[in-house]
Amino acid sequence: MEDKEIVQKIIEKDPKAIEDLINKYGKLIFGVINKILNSSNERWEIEECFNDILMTLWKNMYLYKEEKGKLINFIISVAKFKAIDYKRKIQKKNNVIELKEEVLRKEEFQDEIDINDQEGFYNLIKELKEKDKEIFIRRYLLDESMEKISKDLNLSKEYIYNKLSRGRKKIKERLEGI
Amino acid sequence: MLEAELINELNGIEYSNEEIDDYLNWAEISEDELNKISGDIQTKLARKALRECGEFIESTMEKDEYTEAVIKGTDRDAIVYFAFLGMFMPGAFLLSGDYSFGYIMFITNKRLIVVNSNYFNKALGTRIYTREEMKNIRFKRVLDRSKKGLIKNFFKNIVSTPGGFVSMAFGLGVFSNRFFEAYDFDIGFEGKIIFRVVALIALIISGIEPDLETEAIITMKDGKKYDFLVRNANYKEILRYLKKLSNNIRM
Repeated sequence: MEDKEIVQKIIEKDPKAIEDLINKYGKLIFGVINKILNSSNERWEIEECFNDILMTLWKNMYLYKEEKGKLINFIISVAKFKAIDYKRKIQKKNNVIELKEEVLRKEEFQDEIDINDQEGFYNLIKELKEKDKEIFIRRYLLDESMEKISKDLNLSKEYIYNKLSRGRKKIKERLEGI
Repeated sequence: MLEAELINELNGIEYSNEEIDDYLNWAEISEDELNKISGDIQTKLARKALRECGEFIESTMEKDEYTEAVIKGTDRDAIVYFAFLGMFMPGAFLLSGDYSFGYIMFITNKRLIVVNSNYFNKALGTRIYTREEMKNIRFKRVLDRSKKGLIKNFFKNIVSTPGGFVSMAFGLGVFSNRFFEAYDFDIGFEGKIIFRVVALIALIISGIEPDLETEAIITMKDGKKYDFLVRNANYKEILRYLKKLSNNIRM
């Protein structure tokens, strides 16, 4: 089935379209979740997250903009966003701190953004320029490394670092001004 | 709402073919598992639609009005019609789209609200009556046309009952030789085989006799008829309620 048809049917709330979505992208969505959650989560948690992502796509498919890219990319991004969010919530719940990650991040940045506060995060990025916004989303929402962002966007690592650093400064100033 | 805003920002992010292949390598899930999840999600969505429908009906109720019963009924004509169409069209075509499969009925202390719905409980149209507009409710016993019924019934009626199990073992020859010897039946090998086959066939026929289920027909004073099979989990309770309601209408 064509992507356009799947999107249309989901927007029209035809539950049969979920089957079409799963037939075409089910394995890919599962692969995204499995890669993110595999080492630290049980199988049932991965399946629960899979269900959650399907429901998110069902609810939010109207947000997909064909002119901005292929459906497959949108689906991967949503799956990554939800799986990472799920992982963070589980970690928070279990009070588990992945020390290695934490140490690495602290080396990279002096101050962190609390990504568990989605509202705060959205308020922080909404006024940034499109390119800067994408850097922030990739870094914090999709948990991508600086190397990957710099490679994918064809920008130097220093540039990415500066953008993140300036962005955070801007955000801080705005928050202090409120 | 906020989640939607963040998801909106995810448009335009691209992934390389290598990255997509890498994710696919992590996809340790079978087709069967995917099909099961797909079925579970669709059931969840159908339940959600039913709940939303109920919430909408509730919002239209008067202050002293309350729901006495919610009935999920499958239209008898739709079952026959879809079985016929199913011979020519794929199931996906029949299940998707706005084909009325049955009714969701809300019977309150004041009204009967009939919502025409598709397979997934999507509301396609609503008719509202006062209770006084109901002329009568009749009941009819019909065959359960469930496709899985035959094997299920066989297991329920034969395999899982001691008498049925012993009879089946007899038919398969486990005890029959002793039986023939004990009662001194003078029949040859072929005769014994025929005896066993007949016993087995009789057993299977009695075992797979389909269940009966009750069809309810609500006739309205304007001549409209709602002919349906009750699909609620509390099927017996709903039938008892309808019978009581039917008696009240007659009085």
